[in-house]
Amino acid sequence: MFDSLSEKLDRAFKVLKGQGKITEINVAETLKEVRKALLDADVNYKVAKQFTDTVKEKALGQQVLTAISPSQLLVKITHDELTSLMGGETADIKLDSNPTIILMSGLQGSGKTTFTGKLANHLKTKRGKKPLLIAADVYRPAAINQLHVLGEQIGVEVFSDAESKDPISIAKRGIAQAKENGNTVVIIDTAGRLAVDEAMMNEIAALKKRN
Amino acid sequence: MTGQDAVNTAKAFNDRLDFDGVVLTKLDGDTRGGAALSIKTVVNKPIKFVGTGEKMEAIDVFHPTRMSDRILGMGDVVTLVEKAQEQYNEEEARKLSKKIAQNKFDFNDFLAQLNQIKKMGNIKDLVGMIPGVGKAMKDVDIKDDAFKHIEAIIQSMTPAEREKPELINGSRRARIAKGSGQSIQEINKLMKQFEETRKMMRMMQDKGAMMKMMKNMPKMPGMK
Repeated sequence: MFDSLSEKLDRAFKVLKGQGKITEINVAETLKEVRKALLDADVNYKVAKQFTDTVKEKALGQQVLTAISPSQLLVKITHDELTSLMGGETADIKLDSNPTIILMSGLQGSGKTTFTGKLANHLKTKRGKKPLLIAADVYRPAAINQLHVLGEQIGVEVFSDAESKDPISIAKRGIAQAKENGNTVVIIDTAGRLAVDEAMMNEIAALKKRN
Repeated sequence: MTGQDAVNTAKAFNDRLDFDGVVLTKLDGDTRGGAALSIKTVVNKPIKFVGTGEKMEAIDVFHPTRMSDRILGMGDVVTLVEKAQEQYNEEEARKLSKKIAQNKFDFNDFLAQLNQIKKMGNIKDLVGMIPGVGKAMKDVDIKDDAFKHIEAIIQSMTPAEREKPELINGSRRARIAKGSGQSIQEINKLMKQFEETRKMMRMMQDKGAMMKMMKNMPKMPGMK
């Protein structure tokens, strides 16, 4: 998934091969390539700039041990910075409340319904949870069916109401059912929406607030 | 949708909803993973999961360290081992090692092993997790159905042949070739690979022979 980025970073570090120490000049050259690689991977410009600045600062301040070459050292610094750029620690999903309610939101076609199924499967098989899926996408007729098919595949219950056009009430009734049946996780699959679509954004904000 | 777009969308949603975390979907199709790198800084919400395919199992917890390992071409052995462990079944493994010891490893076991590897996920992704290999293999196209013709060949064998590969003579080979739609050469190649796998597996159990084995590693099946 990061093929071209990996390749370009690799090429960037080659600049330092054979160089005895880190100097302002060779680091600047390498980092220029690194920044290009990041921008090519469509990383936000400000983020890329900030990233190379931090790496540069850390690299120049480092005592180079004789055992490792400058290019190795720079790879290490880049590795650490990339990690912290992506959040550092692994952020586990919070599952302490009972039931835990997860609201899926996003654009049309970004894979929410599919991911709802995947997440339920993951929580069921690896975390020993008992999920209930709620089909709150009232705009796309096939979405409810899709969720039912996925639910059947992974053996997870699905709550839906084809009659209702009100996602908030569907979600409410779904959660009530989950509490009754002892489900520990509730995942609400909502309709895809654009962030600029005011009415739809209000709807999901209300959905979040009410539940 | 890539990089900047994804980040801007996430920001707009976050302004309204103040969500807890982000999921990166369709990461298998998108070579530009810029979103993964920018989202934390711009939105200040962690990435929790990544989706990497159509299958219901294609979901991974997002680990920043492992991701940077992969970006820098260091492979991701931890994930590879985890995936292997998920498929590992102690009882079956014990049975298998007994069979190997008695030199009774047969085509049925071979097929079971292939299926286990397949269950671990996309083969190209798996290979990419081995440090150093990802870079070397990036131009090699490993199709997901790389094992298909091997399966076809094995499935064209009679149960007796699968259990006793020694039975397979010239005319049986011709029949298997016809049945699986492969050339006789392909059958011969597989038979040879199978023999080598068998030999290697026995050596694995015999620790003294390990060093010898390292010297003449047989090629992995399915790769050209």
